[in-house]
Amino acid sequence: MKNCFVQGAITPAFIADSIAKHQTKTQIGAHQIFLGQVRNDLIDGKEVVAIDYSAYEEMANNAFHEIRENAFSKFDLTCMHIYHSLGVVEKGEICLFVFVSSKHRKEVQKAIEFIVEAIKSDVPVFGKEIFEDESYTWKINN
Amino acid sequence: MKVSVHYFGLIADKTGKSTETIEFVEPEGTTLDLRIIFENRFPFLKGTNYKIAVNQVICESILINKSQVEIALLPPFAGG
Repeated sequence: MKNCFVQGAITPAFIADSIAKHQTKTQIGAHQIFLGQVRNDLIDGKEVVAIDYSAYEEMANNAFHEIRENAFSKFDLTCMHIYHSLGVVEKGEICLFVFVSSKHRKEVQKAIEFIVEAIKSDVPVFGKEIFEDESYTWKINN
Repeated sequence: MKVSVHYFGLIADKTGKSTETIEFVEPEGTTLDLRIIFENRFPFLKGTNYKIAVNQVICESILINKSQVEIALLPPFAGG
């Protein structure tokens, strides 16, 4: 089972490198990329400075795998990659990277929305939103 | 039947543990309602929104038998 988790933030260099690795796949005509970034949410007057991600890793990787399989069967895709951070990711840093590729643009536009929504609802990942004073609250996706 | 239980997020926080082994003494073939069992064990769960997974599949009950079982209590997801 593929491990979609990365320790810490996903770096811009990692993302650029992923793009570079696909240049040899010359049947691809379009990529769509989604990046989830930690936002400085204001909760009860306190600013989020980081999110500490944890997960039920085995179940989460199975869930990512199922999302992949569903996306490949619903959409005509050449390639797809999902990476999610574990551990502390600071505000402004990237915690989710979804990369889909296809011959044509319509498929990737539809696929990216499907995949991101599925990740948010179906993958057992948990986030501790850490404030400046080191207190925290637990993040809930809507 | 011994089962391993994993707690995550807010639930791990409040129970003070991430994992433990529990033994169910009911006879083989009994079906147990896991929500009732865990809410008796940890009353704070009654006011908490969570899902239960049995061997990584969302499920509310368990059948007592000889197989290896892993239970997880999952608070709301926050991926992405």
